[in-house]
Amino acid sequence: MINKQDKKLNFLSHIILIALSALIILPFIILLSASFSGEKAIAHTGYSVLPKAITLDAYKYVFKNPKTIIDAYGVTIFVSTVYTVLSTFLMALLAYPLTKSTMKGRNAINFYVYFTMLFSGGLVPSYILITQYLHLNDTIWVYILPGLVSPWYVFMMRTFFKGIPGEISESAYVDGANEYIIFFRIIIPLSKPVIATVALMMFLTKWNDWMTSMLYVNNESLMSLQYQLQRIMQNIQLLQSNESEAQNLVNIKDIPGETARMAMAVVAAGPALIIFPFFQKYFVKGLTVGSVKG
Amino acid sequence: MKRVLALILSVVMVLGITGCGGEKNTDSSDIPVLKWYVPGDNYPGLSEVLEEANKISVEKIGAKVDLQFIDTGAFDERMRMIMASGENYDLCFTGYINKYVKAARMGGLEPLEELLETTPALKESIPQFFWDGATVDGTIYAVPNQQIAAGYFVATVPKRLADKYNLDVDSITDYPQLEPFMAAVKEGEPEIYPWRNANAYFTIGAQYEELLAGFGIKRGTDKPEVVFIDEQPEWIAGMNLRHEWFNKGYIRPDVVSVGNDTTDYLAGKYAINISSYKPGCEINFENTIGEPVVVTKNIGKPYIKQSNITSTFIGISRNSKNKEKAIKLIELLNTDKEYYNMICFGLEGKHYTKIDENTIKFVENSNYKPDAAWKFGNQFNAFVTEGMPADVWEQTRKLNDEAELSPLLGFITDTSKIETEISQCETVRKQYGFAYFMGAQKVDASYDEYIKRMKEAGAEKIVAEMQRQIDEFLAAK
Amino acid sequence: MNNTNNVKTHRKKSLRRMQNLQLYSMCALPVLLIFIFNYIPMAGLVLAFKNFRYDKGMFGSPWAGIDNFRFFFESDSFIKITRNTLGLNALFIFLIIVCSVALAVTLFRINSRRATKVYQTVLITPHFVSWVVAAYIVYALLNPQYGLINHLLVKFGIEPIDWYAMPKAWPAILSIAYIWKHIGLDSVIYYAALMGMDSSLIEAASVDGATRWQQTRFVIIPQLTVLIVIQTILKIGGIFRADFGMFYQLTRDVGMLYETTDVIDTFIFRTMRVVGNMGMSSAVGFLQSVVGFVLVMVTNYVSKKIDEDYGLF
Repeated sequence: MINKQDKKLNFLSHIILIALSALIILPFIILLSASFSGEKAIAHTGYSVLPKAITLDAYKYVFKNPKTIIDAYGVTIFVSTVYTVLSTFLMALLAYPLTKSTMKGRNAINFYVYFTMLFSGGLVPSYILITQYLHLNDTIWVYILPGLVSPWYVFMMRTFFKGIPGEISESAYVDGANEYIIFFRIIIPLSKPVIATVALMMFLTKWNDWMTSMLYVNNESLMSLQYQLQRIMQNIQLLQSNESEAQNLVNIKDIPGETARMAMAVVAAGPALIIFPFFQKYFVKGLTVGSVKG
Repeated sequence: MKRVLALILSVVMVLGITGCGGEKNTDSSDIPVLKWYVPGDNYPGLSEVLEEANKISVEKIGAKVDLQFIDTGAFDERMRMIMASGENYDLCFTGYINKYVKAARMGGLEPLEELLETTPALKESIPQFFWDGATVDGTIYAVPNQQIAAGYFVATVPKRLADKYNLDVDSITDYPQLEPFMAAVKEGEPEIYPWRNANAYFTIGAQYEELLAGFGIKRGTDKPEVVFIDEQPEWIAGMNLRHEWFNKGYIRPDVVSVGNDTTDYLAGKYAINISSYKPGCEINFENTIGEPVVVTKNIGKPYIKQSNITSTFIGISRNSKNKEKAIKLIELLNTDKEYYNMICFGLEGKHYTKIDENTIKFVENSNYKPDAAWKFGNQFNAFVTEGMPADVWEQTRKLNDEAELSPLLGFITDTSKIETEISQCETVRKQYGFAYFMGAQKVDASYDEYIKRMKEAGAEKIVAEMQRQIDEFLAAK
Repeated sequence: MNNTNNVKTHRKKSLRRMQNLQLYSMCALPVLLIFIFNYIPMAGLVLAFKNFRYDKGMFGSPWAGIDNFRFFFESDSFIKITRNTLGLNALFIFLIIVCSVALAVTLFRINSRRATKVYQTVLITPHFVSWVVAAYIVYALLNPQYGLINHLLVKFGIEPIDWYAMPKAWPAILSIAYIWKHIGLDSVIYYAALMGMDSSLIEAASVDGATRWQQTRFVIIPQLTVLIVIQTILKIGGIFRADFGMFYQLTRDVGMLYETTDVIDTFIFRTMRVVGNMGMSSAVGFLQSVVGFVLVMVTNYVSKKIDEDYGLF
C-alpha cells in the first residue's frame, strides 16, 4: 500500500522529528553534563555539552542522607499512583454524564466544574479547611484528596467521549444495559488513549508537587521528593549565604551549588521518564465502528 | 477492573486508619505546654533535649515548651497561614523571615507593653536601643534577640591576593584607594575579576541611611531630611567611579544580567567582595571560600538603624492562652544561660563537648544541632563555638555600644498612602536605573532623563510623604 | 394502537428517568469533591475587598472597598504590563496549539511505533526541568560573553549580541522556551485523540485516492477541531495570568527587558516585596479571574454560534 511518495514523506517526517528532538533535548543534555561536572569547572569554563571531567560530587551531595531521598521517592511514587488512579477514575465518572444531552442540568454542571478553574479563594481558606476541619495535615491524604478533579482534564475526557460514535452504545441500550455497564464496558475500553493521557498528566502533576509538603507536612518521612530536593537546595543556599553559624563546621567551598541543582533535576526526572512508556502502551488506535458492529 | 477497585478501596481503608493515628495526645497535667515555632531543620534529638530543658522550665516558670522547627524556606508561608487561620500557638520567631513589621502591623503578634511589666529582668537585660528598634507604631510587639546590630560595609580580600599584590587593608579608608590593587590584579590574574559588584548601596552607606530603595536620610543630622538618593552627589560620584572601573575591566562585563553569582564567588573569581561586617566574620569568609581572608575594617562607620534590629525576635501569638507564661519563657531564654544554651546546643556530652568554660565543640554526627543562637534569645549568653574568637560576644557588644544610632529607631514608613508611587518607582529604578548603579552605563544627560522618569513616577511625592511622617514621629518622640 | 404508543412513551420516560438517575449518581462524588475543595474555600474571595488583619480574621477584617485594586489601575505600568501579559499569552496559545497539533499529526503519520515512543519520551523531558534550572541553561546559551549562541555568531563573523539588553528579542526567546517546555505533553493530548479516531475514515480517503496532504487536511485535522477549540477556550481562561516562574527566572529580572517582559505577575511580585498586603495580591488574582471568565464566556458564546459541539458549556 505504501507508495513512493509516502516513503519520501515518511523519511522527511523522521528528519524533522529527529532535528526537533535534538533541539529539545540539547538543554537537557547540557543540564546532565553540568550535573556530572565539578562546581569549579562550571565557574571557570561554563556549561558544555560534554562534561570535561566527570565527578559524582553533586549526586553524592544530593544523596548524602539516602534515607530521606528514598523515603521521599516512596511517598511520591505511592501518592502519585494512588492519586492518578483515583483522579482519573473520578474524572471519567464526571465526564461521561456530561456528554449526555438528555441529562437535565448538564450545562449547569459543566459551568459548575469550569468555574473552579478560574476562581479560587487562595491559600488561606484552603489551609483553614484542611488543617482545622478536615485535619488532613501530616497525613498522606493531604496529597491525594484536594484537587482530585481537575476541570481541564474533565473537559478533555468529555470531548473524547463525545467523539465515540453513538451507534456503539445504542445497541447495548437495546440489550437493556444501564449507564454503568455502558460506561465500564464500552466507553472505558474505547477510551484507552485519552485515559492514559489524563493519567499521565495527573501523574506528572503529582510527581512535581512540592507545595503540599511545604504547607501541610511536618513529618519528614511524609515529605515528597520534589520538596526534599528543594530543602537540600535551600540548605545549600543558606550555607553559602554567610548567614549560618554552621559555617565553621563544613567546608562550604566544597558544597556543590549549581551542579547540585542540575543533579536534582535529573534525580527528579529520571524515574518519571522511565514510567512514561507504561502510559504509551495505551496509545493504541481505538476500535472502529465497523469492527465493533462486526 | 473490579480487582483494581478492590485494591484501591483496601489501600484507602488502611491509609484511613493510619492517617487518623497522628493526633497528639495532650498532656493531662496542669502544667501548660507552650508551642513555639522556630525556622530550621527538625532534629531527631529534639525530644530528649526538650525533656531535659522542660525540667528546668517547669521548676523556674511552671511551664513546658513544645519547640517545633519549620523549614526555613517554608517558614514565611507557613507562619502566614498559621496566623491567618487563627491557629492556637504561643510563641514564634519573627524578624527577617516571618517579617516582624508586617506581622505586627497585621495583628499577628500580641502587644507586649503590659506583659513586659511582669518581667523586669527581661526588660533590663536588653539595651534601650534594641527596644527602640523593636517599636512599631509606638508599641513593642516582640522581644529582640540581642546580636550584632551595628552594621557597616567592609571589603574582603583573599589573603593570598592581598599579600601577592601588597594590599595593606588597614590603611584603606575609602574605596578609591583600592584602585592600584585592582589594577595589579587585573594585570596579574586574568582569570579573576577584581571587583564583585554585589550591592551598589555600600558606597554611600557611610553618608546615608536608606529607608526605601532610592530614598533615605543623611546620616548624622539632628533633624533628618528625606532625600531622593539617586540624585545626591555622593551617589553620582559612586556611579562614576564604578563606571570607570567597568571600563577598565575591574567589573565583569555582564554585571547587569548576571544576578546570582555565588558559584563564581565560591570558585574564587573575585578579588574584592563587599559584605557587612561582624566580629569573627573573617572565619566565616574563610570557610566560605576556603582560604584566609583579610578585611578592610576602616571603611565606613558602624551604624544602628531600624532594619538592623528588626531581624531577630521572639513574639507571642495573639491567640495564645498562656501569654503570661510565654513572656516568662522569653525571660528565661534571655537571662538563664543554662536553659538557653541547652536549647541552642543540646546536651553536654551528647551533642557537644566543652573545650573550656565558654567554648564548645560539636559532637560529630550529633542529632541536635540547630546552631543558630540568634533564633532563641540573647546571643551574648551563648557558648562560643570552636574556631571563633573567645571574646566574640564582647567584641560584638562593644561594636553595638559604640555605633552611631539612627535618629529614626522606632520609625517605619507607612506605605499605604504611597503604594502606587513606590511600586512605580521600583519598576523605573530596575528598568532604567540599574545599569547606572552597576557601573555598566555612563552617567550623562541620559541619567537626567532617568531622574525625570522617577519624578514622574512619584519620587517627589514619596519624599514629601515620608518627610511628613518623620516630622510627626520626631514630634511625638 | 394509541394505547401501546402511550405505554411505549411512558416506558421510554421512565427509562430516561432511570438513566438520568444513574448518570447523576455517577457524577455525585466528583461534584461533591469539587464543592468541598473548591467551592468552600472560595469564601476567600472576600479578601480582595478586605484590609486583611490576622487578629480579625477573613470575615472580621475591615472592608477596603476597591482600595486593593487601586495600585494596579493607577500604576503607570498598567498599560505596559496588561499589553505584555495579553499579547505574549495570546502568542503562546497560538504557537503551542499550532506546533503541538503539527507534531501530533506528524507522529501519528510516521509508521513506526517504536520511533514514536522514543520521540515522545525525548520531547517530554523539558517538562521536568524547572524554570530555575532552565534559566541557568538559557544564560549559558545567551550570556553576552561566553554564551554558546554568541560563540556561534562570532564564528560566522557576526557581531555578538547582548541579549539581556535587547528587549525586542524576548518575545521570541520566551516563545521558544514556552514551546520547548510544553510541546511534548501538549502534543500527547492531540496524539491520543488521533489514536482514538475511527481509522477507517483514513482508509476510505486513501482508497478514494486522496494524497497524504489531502488526508491530513480533510480527514485528520477535522477530527481534532473540537478538541482544538475546547483547548483554546480553556487556555483563554488563563490569558490574564502569566507563568511567573518563566518570566521571572528566564529574564533574570533584568530591568532593561521590562519593556517586553514585565507582566502582571512579575509586577505584583515586585510590588509585594516593598509594600503590599494579602488583599492586594488577592485583588489582582480576582481581577485575573474575572477577565479570564469574561473572555471565556465570549469565546464560548461565539464558538457555540458556529457549531453547538464547540461549546464548553
